[in-house]
Amino acid sequence: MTILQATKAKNSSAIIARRVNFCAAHRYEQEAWSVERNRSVFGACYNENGHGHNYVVEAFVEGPIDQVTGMIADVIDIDRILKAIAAPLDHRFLNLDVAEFRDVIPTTENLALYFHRKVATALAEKHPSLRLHKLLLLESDEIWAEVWS
Amino acid sequence: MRSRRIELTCAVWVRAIHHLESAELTAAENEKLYGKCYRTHGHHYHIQVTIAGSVDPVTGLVVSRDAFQALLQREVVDRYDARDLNKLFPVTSCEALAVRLHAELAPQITSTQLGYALGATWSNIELVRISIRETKKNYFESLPASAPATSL
Repeated sequence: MTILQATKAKNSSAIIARRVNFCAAHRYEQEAWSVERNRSVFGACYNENGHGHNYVVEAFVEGPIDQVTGMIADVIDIDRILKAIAAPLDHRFLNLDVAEFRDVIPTTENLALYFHRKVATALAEKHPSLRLHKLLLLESDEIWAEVWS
Repeated sequence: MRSRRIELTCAVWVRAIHHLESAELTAAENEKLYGKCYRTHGHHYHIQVTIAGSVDPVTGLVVSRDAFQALLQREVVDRYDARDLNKLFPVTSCEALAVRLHAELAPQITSTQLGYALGATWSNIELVRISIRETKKNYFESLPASAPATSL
């Protein structure tokens, strides 16, 4: 049985993942709190001048394998969606330059939720047969967040 | 942003030596079964601890980074880095280490332990899994139901 026959026979679905990178500065501060409380909760992340990360965004996309192409989607299409969402954050100070993070602290968790929402919406609009399975956002090789759909 | 359950992982490095050996077997049998792993050798383990929780709307965090990293430093790095694991545990296969760490850390990954003194509303934090990358080729993961296994 050929691969195409196998996908036709089972109408197989699968998951593909694509990564993009962006670099940004941020700072953790809860404006309603005192300096002492901010310092005790956020530690060095509260430092006034902020700090930066080389972020990695990885979208795990689930969908049926196309019977003609043998692919779930052209990864370049997924790449375009991810890059379009990441571009406004790239080489920016997130707290100051990105409207969404003026009132929401740009923590790794909130960035993961932000990308999950944007990628899921973009997929629904442009590729209705695809579904975001999971969004992974790495701040570094030591800390990352995962949002499951 | 709406609050929903997400996973957060912090990873630490542990450099330790070990060898695989079964007390039930003779030296010759151990050598035959485990091959080169029967000889004492070392790894630079990348130990990934994944917790699940809700994002606190006030801080934007699932858990205090400092508290989480301090816990991993104290309970993983300080205890196992630069040690002979065979002097600490009877079984030092990486899957046994993952399950053991899961059992050791699970009771400590709680709202009380990680949210203390912060005054934030950490809710329903729980350990999901321990993942260990032993080498570039070998990776191990504990399952959610990894029960305390005192024999390991």
